Amino acid sequence: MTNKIKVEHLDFYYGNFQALKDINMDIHQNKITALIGPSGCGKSTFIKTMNRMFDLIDGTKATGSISFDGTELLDKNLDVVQLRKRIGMVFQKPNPFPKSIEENVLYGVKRHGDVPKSEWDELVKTSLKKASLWTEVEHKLNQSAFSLSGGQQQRLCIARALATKPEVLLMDEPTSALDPIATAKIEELLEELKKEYTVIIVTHSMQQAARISDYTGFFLNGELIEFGLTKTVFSNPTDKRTEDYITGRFG
Amino acid sequence: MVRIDVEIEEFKAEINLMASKVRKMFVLALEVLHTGNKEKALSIVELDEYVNNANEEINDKAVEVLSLLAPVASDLRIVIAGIKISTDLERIGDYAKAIARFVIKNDDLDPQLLPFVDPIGNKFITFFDETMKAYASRDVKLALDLPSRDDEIDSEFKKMINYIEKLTEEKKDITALVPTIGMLRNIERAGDHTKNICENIIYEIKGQHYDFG
Repeated sequence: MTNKIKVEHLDFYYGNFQALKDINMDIHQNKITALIGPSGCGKSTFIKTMNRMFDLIDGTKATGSISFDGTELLDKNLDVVQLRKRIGMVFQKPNPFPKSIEENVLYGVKRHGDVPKSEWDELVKTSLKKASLWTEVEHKLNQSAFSLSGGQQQRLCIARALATKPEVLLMDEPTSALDPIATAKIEELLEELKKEYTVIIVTHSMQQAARISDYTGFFLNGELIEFGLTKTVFSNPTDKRTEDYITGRFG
Repeated sequence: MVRIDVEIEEFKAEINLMASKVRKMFVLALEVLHTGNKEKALSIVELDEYVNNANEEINDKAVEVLSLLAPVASDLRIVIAGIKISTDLERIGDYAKAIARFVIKNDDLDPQLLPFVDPIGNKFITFFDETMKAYASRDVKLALDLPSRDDEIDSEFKKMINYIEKLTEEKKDITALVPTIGMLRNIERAGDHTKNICENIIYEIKGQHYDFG
């Protein structure tokens, strides 16, 4: 089992408030890791440390270590633009830009400027295919992204993230705004994506975590209470707090 | 109380009720082996109908809980263990019914082997009672200790086998004893299924698989 990311003794603060407390976790390559826990437990904060999204918020501080293939992500001198190319993110609500479908896919690619223009058409096609959206949009690439349904918009956002050829995909409740059919399509897509990418997904749906992930981490009050194989966490958790949460008896 | 707690409580209550009927069947079966009372034997057959239906209802309830409430962790194990325990109870009921059907169809058993019935039968009833007590009280320590009781049943059964062997050595005709041996074998097999129930109680509580053989 290859570790893609190794988190050691990670503490995170919003001002004086400590949002993450001594987190230790190994993220395995080409596996889906689900993070579960009640609102405000720190799971979204945790994935935002992975691509340094917290740099955008004043007064935040992270200590400890996040090693990504040997590169220290908390290093102040790290090129975060390059980092976010390697670690892409998909958010809770589909957030396409007010541009065409094609321009949305190419947005990050154009920004990074490292793919020749001659390869753009092929990149749009492969990214949309990987996001299982190609057959639905191949004849309307110039139409506005807003013409798509919510589920299609979210897959477009996944295509946009894939176009920069990341190694890791961070997903923050990517299906919470979608209907069950669109959710099923994203989940099916994740099964395919993990062959090429390492996926970390925050979800409030216990069943989704159980269905799609290989590993599950349970967060509570900024602590990682339990982390292990999903099949173990959901069949025989070791911590009573995990048991209470996943069986709906929390609090 | 959350809904799954209510459903799980009802599910376990149905299993306990089913177990109480199975116990009644076996107590009656031991009695009719002695008395040959065909009317009481018939009541065992009737109870078996109830037990078979209870097994189906427990399975239906399990499907309902699984499909509607998607239980995980200890809740899921309670349902899985419950399905298996209910199947073992149904089989134990079948052994009591086999004794009842024999009593209904035949004349009295050969009295030579009747002294072996109570030692085997009473040990089984105690084993069964303690097992269902462990189930109701989620007593994993008791469930781990109990399977040795099955060895005691086997040991009593062996005493009867030794007696038969002695008769054979003495060149005595044992043909008339064969049906009684079969009836006592039913009790011994019921003990094996009770041992399975202990395994499933441990699985329900600890999530670990034990095989008591």
